[in-house]
Amino acid sequence: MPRLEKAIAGVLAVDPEQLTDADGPGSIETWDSLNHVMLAGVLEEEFGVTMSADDLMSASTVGDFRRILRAKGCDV
Amino acid sequence: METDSLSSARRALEAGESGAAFDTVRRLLAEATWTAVLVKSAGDLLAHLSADTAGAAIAVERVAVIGGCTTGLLLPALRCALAEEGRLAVVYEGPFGAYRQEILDPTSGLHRFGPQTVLLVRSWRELMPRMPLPTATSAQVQSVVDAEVAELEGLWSTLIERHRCRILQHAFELPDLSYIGAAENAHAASGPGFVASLDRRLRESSGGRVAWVETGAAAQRAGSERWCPADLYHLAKLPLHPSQLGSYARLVQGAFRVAANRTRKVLVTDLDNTLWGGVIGDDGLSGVALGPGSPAGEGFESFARYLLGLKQRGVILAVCSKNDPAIAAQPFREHPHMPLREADFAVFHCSWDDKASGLRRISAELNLGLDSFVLVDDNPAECALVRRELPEVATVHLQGSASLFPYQVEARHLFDRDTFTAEDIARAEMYRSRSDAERLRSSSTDLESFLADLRMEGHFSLAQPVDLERLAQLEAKTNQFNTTTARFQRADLERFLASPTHALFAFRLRDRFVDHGLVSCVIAEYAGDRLVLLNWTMSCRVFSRGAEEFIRNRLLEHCQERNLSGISAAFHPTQKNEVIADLFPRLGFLREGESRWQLAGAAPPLPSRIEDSGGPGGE
Repeated sequence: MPRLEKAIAGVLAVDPEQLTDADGPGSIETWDSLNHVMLAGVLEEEFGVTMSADDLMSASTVGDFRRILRAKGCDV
Repeated sequence: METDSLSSARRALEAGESGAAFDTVRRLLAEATWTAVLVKSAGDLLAHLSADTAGAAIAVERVAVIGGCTTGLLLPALRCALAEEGRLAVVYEGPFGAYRQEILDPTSGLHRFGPQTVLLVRSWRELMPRMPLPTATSAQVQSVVDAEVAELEGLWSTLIERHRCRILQHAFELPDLSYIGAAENAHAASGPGFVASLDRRLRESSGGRVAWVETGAAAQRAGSERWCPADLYHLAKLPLHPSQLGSYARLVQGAFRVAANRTRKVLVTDLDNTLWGGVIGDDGLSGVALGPGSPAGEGFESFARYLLGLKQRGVILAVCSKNDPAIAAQPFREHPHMPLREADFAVFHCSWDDKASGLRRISAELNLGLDSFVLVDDNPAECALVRRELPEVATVHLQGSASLFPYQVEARHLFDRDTFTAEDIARAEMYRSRSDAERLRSSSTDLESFLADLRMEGHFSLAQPVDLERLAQLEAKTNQFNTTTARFQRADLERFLASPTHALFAFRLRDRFVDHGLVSCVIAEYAGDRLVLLNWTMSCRVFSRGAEEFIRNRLLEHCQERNLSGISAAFHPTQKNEVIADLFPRLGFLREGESRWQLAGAAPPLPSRIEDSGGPGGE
């Protein structure tokens, strides 16, 4: 189970197999602003990186988080 | 695996089986590491459990969460913290930043909710607008501190008067900007100085009403940039970085344990690879890693020292190890770098039995419930076995370098208390000493000399109102030494105390090791010229020491004082009181009927090793 999908599934209580890079607050009901922050925090813990408030504000889909993590050197 | 447990819990939830779902989550929390994502997913699952379908077996705790900053992210942590303590949290979340209004407005949602526990979430950044200027004098700083303390005291009083609730409150973290470096600490109005002063005053004045969630200490350990970064606070008034949710959940758990009097009392430790590196049976005294000479040895010595420190603070220590007792005791007797002695342990249990049996035995010997026990062990299989067999025991699986063991124990906040008194030290000593008496008994081949050696003193008299609590406890809880299992309630005892046709007696016992306090209750009725024993209970801790003979003799004296012809008593056998089936014949009573016995008032006294102390024991 890929770590990004697993972390997102854990925070948003969704099926990780159903996640696509296009998913975001628009397509996932539990993806509200608090959970958005929670997501960033969990990804920090999981991947050992730091997400700035800018990273957080600029991410609005699964794909965005994937790009941000890759830019920080994560294999994701 | 975690995901499997959570899926299983979700399925139970969908099937309407909240009880099964709760159990699954609780067991998962007992064994998994509390990462942020685990706490979030388990906590959210718990939020869906309905108190109605959970069943009578699960205790519900109504918790109101209010604060001066964003609280939503913390709710899963609260739910997990309480779930591991067996409570399903039913949560009311107050509107953002409105903690004062929620408390002061009698028609608020909080008051309509009627909380059993209130979690008050604060952040040091809320204090910033009210902090004194750097030019303020000490007196001016103190008056700002006084005003903050007074406001909170008023809020606490209002909550407690209205709801008699527990209050868990975040301790303020120290401000993390020091402006001019070292000089910042030198002036009275410095940010850290102000908050430290406020924190100290709040703790002094909260005295037992508030259990502190130790967020200030956590921020220091994690580093405030990690714990409560400024950008997250400015983004969404978050008091905590989400990655810290696991640590935070443990802090809440610690505070809840303090507030609910669920602090653990006993730490049971393994030996091999827990208190020293290696296996004592194989490596011998000189082969185990303990003390200077290796980093591992230094780590183990520091862990042993940590356990000694816990013991000095009132935690009861015990050993449970698969070892030969003589070999296992060697390091405590002879190793130059072992800070602990055998005498530091209330129980030293070495056998080849499994750990669950060992723990049960220790629990019986100390007469303390397993739900007050913590097991520390480097062996994950042992921890898993104990979790399965004795889920009420908290297990800490020690991993990695021994230097980190103390921190692994601390992180669980199992022994947190809000007060530390001489009584706490004395209590731990009492358990240790009780076991000394047991050891003396087992080493003594002659019962008579054992009893003489104890130098026991007893006091038997009519009960006083102050004894009622303990007497009611004896009536309710004693199974073995209980002649009729009448189970009189407190209200009955109050009636007997006040009634001229009844007599309520209390017996206290002290020996050279420990004062056992009130250990036996006799309830009697004056019927005609007889003293009729309605019930006689005694704590099993003091069986077979001659207390029965002492009490019988004193009851006869009472009959003589009142010109009664003798004592009548009934014995109702149960599954549990077989141990005293021959009590009355042993004490010289004659059978009077099917289950009735009688003793003539003129019967001579029986020998007892217990001296009359002539008055209730010293404090």
